[in-house]
Amino acid sequence: MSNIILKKDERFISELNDALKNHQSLTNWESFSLLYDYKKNTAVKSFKELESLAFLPHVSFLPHQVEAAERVINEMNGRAILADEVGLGKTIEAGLILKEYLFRNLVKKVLILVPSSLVNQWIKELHEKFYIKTASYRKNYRWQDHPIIVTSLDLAKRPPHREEILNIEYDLVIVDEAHRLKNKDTLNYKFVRALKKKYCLLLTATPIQNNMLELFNLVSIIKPGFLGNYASFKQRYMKADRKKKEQLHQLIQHVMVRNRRKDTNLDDVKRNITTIWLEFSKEEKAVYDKLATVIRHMPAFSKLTYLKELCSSREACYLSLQKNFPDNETEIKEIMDAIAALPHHTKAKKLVELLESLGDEKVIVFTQYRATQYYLQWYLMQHDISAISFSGGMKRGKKDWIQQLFKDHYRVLIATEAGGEGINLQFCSHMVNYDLPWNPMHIEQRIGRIHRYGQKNDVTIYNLAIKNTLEEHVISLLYQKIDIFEKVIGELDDILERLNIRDFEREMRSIIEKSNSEGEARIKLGNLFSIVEDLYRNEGVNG
Amino acid sequence: MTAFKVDQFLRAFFQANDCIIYEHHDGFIDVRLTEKLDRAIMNRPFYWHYVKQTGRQGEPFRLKLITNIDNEAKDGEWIHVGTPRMNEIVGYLEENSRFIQQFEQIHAAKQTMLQPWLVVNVMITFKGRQMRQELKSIGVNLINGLFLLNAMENLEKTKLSSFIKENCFTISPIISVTSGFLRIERKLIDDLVDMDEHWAIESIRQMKDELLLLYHFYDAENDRGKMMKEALEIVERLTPKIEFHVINGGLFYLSESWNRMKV
Repeated sequence: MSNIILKKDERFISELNDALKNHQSLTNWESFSLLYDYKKNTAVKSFKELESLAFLPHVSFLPHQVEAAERVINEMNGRAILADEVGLGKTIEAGLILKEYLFRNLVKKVLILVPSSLVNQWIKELHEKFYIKTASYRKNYRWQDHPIIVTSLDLAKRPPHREEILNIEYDLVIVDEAHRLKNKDTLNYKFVRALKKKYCLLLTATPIQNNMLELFNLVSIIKPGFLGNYASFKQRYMKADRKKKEQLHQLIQHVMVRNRRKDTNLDDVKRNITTIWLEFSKEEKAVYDKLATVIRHMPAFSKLTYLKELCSSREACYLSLQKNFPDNETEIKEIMDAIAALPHHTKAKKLVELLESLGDEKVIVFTQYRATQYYLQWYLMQHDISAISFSGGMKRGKKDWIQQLFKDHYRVLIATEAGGEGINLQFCSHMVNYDLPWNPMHIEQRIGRIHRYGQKNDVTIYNLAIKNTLEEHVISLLYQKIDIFEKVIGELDDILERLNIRDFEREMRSIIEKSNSEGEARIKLGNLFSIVEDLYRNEGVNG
Repeated sequence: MTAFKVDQFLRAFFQANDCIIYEHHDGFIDVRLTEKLDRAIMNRPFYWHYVKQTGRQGEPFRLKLITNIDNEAKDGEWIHVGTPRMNEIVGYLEENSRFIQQFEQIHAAKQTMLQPWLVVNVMITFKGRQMRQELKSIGVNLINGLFLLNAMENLEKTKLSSFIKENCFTISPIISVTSGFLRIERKLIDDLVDMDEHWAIESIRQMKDELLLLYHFYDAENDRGKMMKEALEIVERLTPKIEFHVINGGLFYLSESWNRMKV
C-alpha cells in the first residue's frame, strides 16, 4: 500500500453542503439514479476490459484484437504502430481504440488517412462495426466541419488542404498503410510528422523491425526522441550486435503491437493448396518453343515477360508484342499470326472444368494480365458462368459496387493484381491463381483477400501451371521449395531481410539475366532457395 | 454484462427532464426539448440570444434520434455511446444530477420520524499499468453512524420524493454531513486493505523496467534534461494510484426500518 498514491475527492462535500444549505441545484430522483446507472454500466469493470465492448454486442472480436486495443490504450497512451500481419484485423483494432476514446470522451477531432481505394471501406466498417459516423472529404467542404474525416493521404498533403489541416488540433490521427511514411525525406512523412495530434496510430502490415532506419522514422512520428536522435541512433544500431538489437527490440515493444497469424486462432482456418499441372497442346507447345527461339536475343527481362504471358493467354502475349513491335518485323509478325491462330488456351479450358466441378461455390480468379482478364470473362460467359472483372484503375465507388455485385449476383470474380488491393472477400473461400507472380509477397496479398479475419471456411487455393515452361521453374523453385503457401508473410519477410535481399523478384530476374543457360539459372536459383530453406529449418524465424 | 440499452437510457433521460416525447419505438426517438435542455445540449447560443433580444419565447429544438442502425433511412440524428450528442447528454447529467435531497414516502397514520442518511456514489479508479473501476454506493445514518451498503440498489425499491409526506417529520443530524462523508471515506479506505495488490506490484515492476531501459538508452548521451523529462513521464504514468471520485450524493430522510436493513 505504501507505494500507492491515494487521491480523494476534495471538492464534493463542500459543494454538497452549499447545495443543501441554499436548496439549490438539487436534482430529482430519476436523474440522480439515471446517472448512477449510466456510471455503473460504463465503469471499467476489470483491468482487462474495454468499456466500449459492452456497447458493441453485434461484433465478435478476436482475443488478439481486444488485447491489442487494450495495450495501446492502457500501456502506450494511444500512440502506437499496429503492425499485425495481413488479414488479422488492424482496422478492427484501430476502430476499437477510436471507439473507446470517443466513449471516454478523450477524443473529438479525428483524421483518418488511408489509400484512396480504402476510404469507403473504412467509412463502412467504422459505421457498421463500431457505430461511428465518419465523412469522406468532399469539395466545398471545410476540414474543420466534420469531427471525424476519412480521406487519402495524397489529397490531404496537397495545398490548399495541407495548410488548413495542419492548423487543426487533432485528438487522434490514424494512418493506414503507414509504410508509406518510412522515408523521412518524403512529403508524406513530413506532413504526418507535422500534424498536431494527441494520439496517433500507424497501421502497417509490412514488418519493419528489421530495417533500423525505417523503423526509427516511424517511431519518431509516434514518440519523437524515443529512440534518441537520428545520428546517434544510426551510430548505435546500424551495426549493432545481437545484444544491442535485443535491447532495441524490447524498446520497440513499447510502441508497437504485432500479432502473427500463427499466434492467433485464425490459424484454425486451413489453407488447402492444389497445384494443377497442365500440358500445352501440341499447337501451343510448338508456338511456345518458336516464340522462345524468335526472342532469344532480346534482353532477359522482355524474354521472360513474353513467355510468361503466353502461359497466361494468347491475348496477353499478342497484345504486348503488338505494342512493342508496331512496325511488324517479319519474324515477329509470323509468330503473332501463329499466336492468333491458336485454339482456346489449355488453362482456360481447365478453369471452366474446375469451376464446373465446384458447384455453386464463389471463386476469385487472379491473373496478372488485363488481356487475360477480359478473355476469361468472355470465355466463362460462353460457358454460362457469370463472371465480373475487377481491376486496379477503378474508382473506389466502382470497386465497392463490384464487390457487392460479386457477393450478390456473380459466381466468379476475375481480378488483376492491383485490383486485389484493399478488397475483403471473406465470404468467398476458393481462389484460383490463373498465373503466378514471381514475388511471393504478391501471392500472400492475394491469399490475404480471402484468408482473413471473418473467413469461416477453410480456404482452397488452386494454382494453374503448365509443365515444361517457365512456370514450372517458378512453381517448383519458388512455391514448392520455400513453401510459401504454408508460411506466413512475416516469416518470409524476416528471412529475405536477413539474406539482405530487398526485392525478391528483382533478385530472381538478375540471376536469370546473368545466366547463360536455363540450366545455369536453375542451379543458381536452387542455391538461393536452399539458403532460405536452411534459415527456416535451423534458426527459427522469430526474429 | 448485459448490453446497455441506449434508447431506454435516452427515454428515461428526456422524461426526467420534462421533455415531450412524440414518438419512441424500435430505435427511434422523437422529442421536444425544454429550453433549459436545449441551451445545454444543442449548442446554439445565438438562437437563444436573438430570440430573447426580440422579446419572443423561442421554440426549443425538436430532436429526432436514431439508436438502431437499421433505422438509418429515417430522418434523424444517429446517436450511440461516444457520439458528440451522447457525450453532451452525459455531461449535462453529470453537471446537474450531483446533489439531491429526498424523503421516503410512507403512509403513516400517526406522526412518523424520518432519519437523515448521507448517501454517496463513489467511483473508485485503480490506475497503474492498466485501469479498473468500482462504483460504490454507500450511506451513513447521521444519527447513529450505521452504514448502508449498496444504497442505490436498496433505494430503487423505495418510494421517494423531494417533498416530505404529511404526518412525517425529520430530525436534525447529530453527525454533520461533512463528518458523515469522512466516515464513508474512511470506510472505503479500510475496505481497500483487503484488495488484491497484484496490479500495483505489476505496475511498479514495469516502471522499474522502463526506467532501466531509458537509462540504458541514454547512457551514451549527454541529454540528461530530456532523459529526466521522459523518466518523470514514466513515473507519472506507472505509479499506482487509487482515485475517489464522487459521482453524486445527498441527503435521504428514511424511516427507522432502514436501520435494520440487512446488507
